[in-house]
Amino acid sequence: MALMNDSLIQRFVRDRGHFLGFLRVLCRDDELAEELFQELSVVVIEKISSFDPSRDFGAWVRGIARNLYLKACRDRRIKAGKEQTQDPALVDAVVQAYDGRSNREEEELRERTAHLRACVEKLPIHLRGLLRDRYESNCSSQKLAALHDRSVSAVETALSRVRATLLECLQRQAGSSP
Amino acid sequence: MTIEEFDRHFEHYVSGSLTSESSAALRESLADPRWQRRWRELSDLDGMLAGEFGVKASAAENADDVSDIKDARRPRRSVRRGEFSGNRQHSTFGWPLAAAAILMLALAGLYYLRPAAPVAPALATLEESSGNVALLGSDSTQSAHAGLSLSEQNGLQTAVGSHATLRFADGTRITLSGDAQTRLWLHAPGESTAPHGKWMTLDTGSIDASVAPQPAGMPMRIHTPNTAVKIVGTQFRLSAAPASARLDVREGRVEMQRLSDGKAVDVNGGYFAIASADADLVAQPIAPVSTVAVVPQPTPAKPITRPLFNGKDLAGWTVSRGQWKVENGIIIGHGRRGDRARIASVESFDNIEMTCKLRVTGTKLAELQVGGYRYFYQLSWETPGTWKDVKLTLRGKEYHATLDGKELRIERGGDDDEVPVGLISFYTTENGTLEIKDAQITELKK
Repeated sequence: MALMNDSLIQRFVRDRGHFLGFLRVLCRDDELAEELFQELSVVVIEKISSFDPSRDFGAWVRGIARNLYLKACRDRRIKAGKEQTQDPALVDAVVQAYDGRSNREEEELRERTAHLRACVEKLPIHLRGLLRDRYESNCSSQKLAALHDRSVSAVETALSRVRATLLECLQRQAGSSP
Repeated sequence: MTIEEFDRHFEHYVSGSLTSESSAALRESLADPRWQRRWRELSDLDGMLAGEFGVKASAAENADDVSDIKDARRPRRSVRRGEFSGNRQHSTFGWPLAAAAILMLALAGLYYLRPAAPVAPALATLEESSGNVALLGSDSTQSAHAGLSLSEQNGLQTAVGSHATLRFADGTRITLSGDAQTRLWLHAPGESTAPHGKWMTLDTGSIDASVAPQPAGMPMRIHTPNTAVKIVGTQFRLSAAPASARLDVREGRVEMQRLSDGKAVDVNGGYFAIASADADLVAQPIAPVSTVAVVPQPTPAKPITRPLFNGKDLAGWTVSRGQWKVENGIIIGHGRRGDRARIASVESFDNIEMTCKLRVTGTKLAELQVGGYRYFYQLSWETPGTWKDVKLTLRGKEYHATLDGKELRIERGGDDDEVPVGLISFYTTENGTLEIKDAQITELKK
């Protein structure tokens, strides 16, 4: 049992990019996603012994992540009297999009993770700066537009294209590795 | 949809700038496994970039000793950020497995030594349930059955076609409607600084409530995503959508407060109100003005007729395609080039008769849709520009419609299980204009 738990923890650690991405997409609030990722790490480790090995581990972790997110939303909304405008049907559609994740995709993600840095370093300097401001400083599109002297729409287009470029690069790199 | 468009939708989604039109388009495309795969790729990349540039992904990384780990049991910690450089010593992706293992062992020890969790008192009982009803916990979901006790932070979720009735000790009953996916959470009265009464959140869907008189100064409260309602003792229906909520009060009085600006209105029996960002929060009579007394009295035995639109704006309606506006009390939708026009009710209806007048120009076709695109009636005009009378009757799963008194054939659209079965939509073709006037709903006896 301990060995199985060890291997599940390792799997969680290895796939953390996926789980963090899932939370970021759910939360659309970088700070909250980071807090919840920390909480998720703790809850997963606490509950690892109750995991049923016949189930999909990724789906199990995402289920915990989603419940943490829903609880955080309720707490925040109620305490701050804050309006929530996220379309629940869209959130459900987004969550369902992760259900079709195959083992092969998981493998691909692990391979790609190893090449991320190399692909980022191939980007032009100004795009690396854009990514840094977005992901390190958690700047909104409006802030990025002001920082980089571009329109919000141009920033959004640039970020979309950078992601597409990185995905292509990661696919190429993973495909060419032995 | 092209990959570029989809990627832009992803960016709009994560940056919170998705419009309602893009939201609908994204939802549609996410039903397709190809786009689901692209979404996962983008999301994984987003997580990898966040890990690489910013997030020190877990408390485990800083787990130097057990006290650190204890702090991490329910962490609300600031997150260290790293500079991206090729020589970074503590890359998140070099996350030490050893630390994770230490954390695991330490937490396992703490887990077994922890004091037994206090059993939360039951707040309500699931009196009745049918169909697909789930009991939601803070980190688990299970099938719910009658007789189950619900305590704080439990939620109930009903799928379309299912329903559940909660009963509180004082006789208050809340029924989660089966015409939409409905999610209701219970909270401990003491979780808030407000007076300690019953407290719930309705994330989505509709509930019908019969609330026993509540103790003085301790009203029952229900939050929706954009609204808070306060109830002393009454019968009402509350429908929640992401940016709007509708309250129909049959008896008694309910205070409805819009969270965005704090504006509140008292809604008496026989009145309804819609809280949304772009409409006045006012109580309006459910029955025609002439039948409403100065002191409104509920008339449950008589059919209640009310306008389907408020005649001023599109509050209570969701535009999913085209451009819609209200002019002189007429709702006008226009399908732009390459796109159609569609507007759907926020509220889901059951046991009603809907009547309205419709007119098209620039096309000969329109549709009256029920339950999203599950069912539709095709409406055709030999002479565009003339008004036609439409009557739609919904009784449970029985639908019936006429156009100028002529029977219409119901058509099966497509699967649209995410949408409540009693939703009404109006639709017209590309470059067509559809006008709607004199639309009203009469509630039929069950």
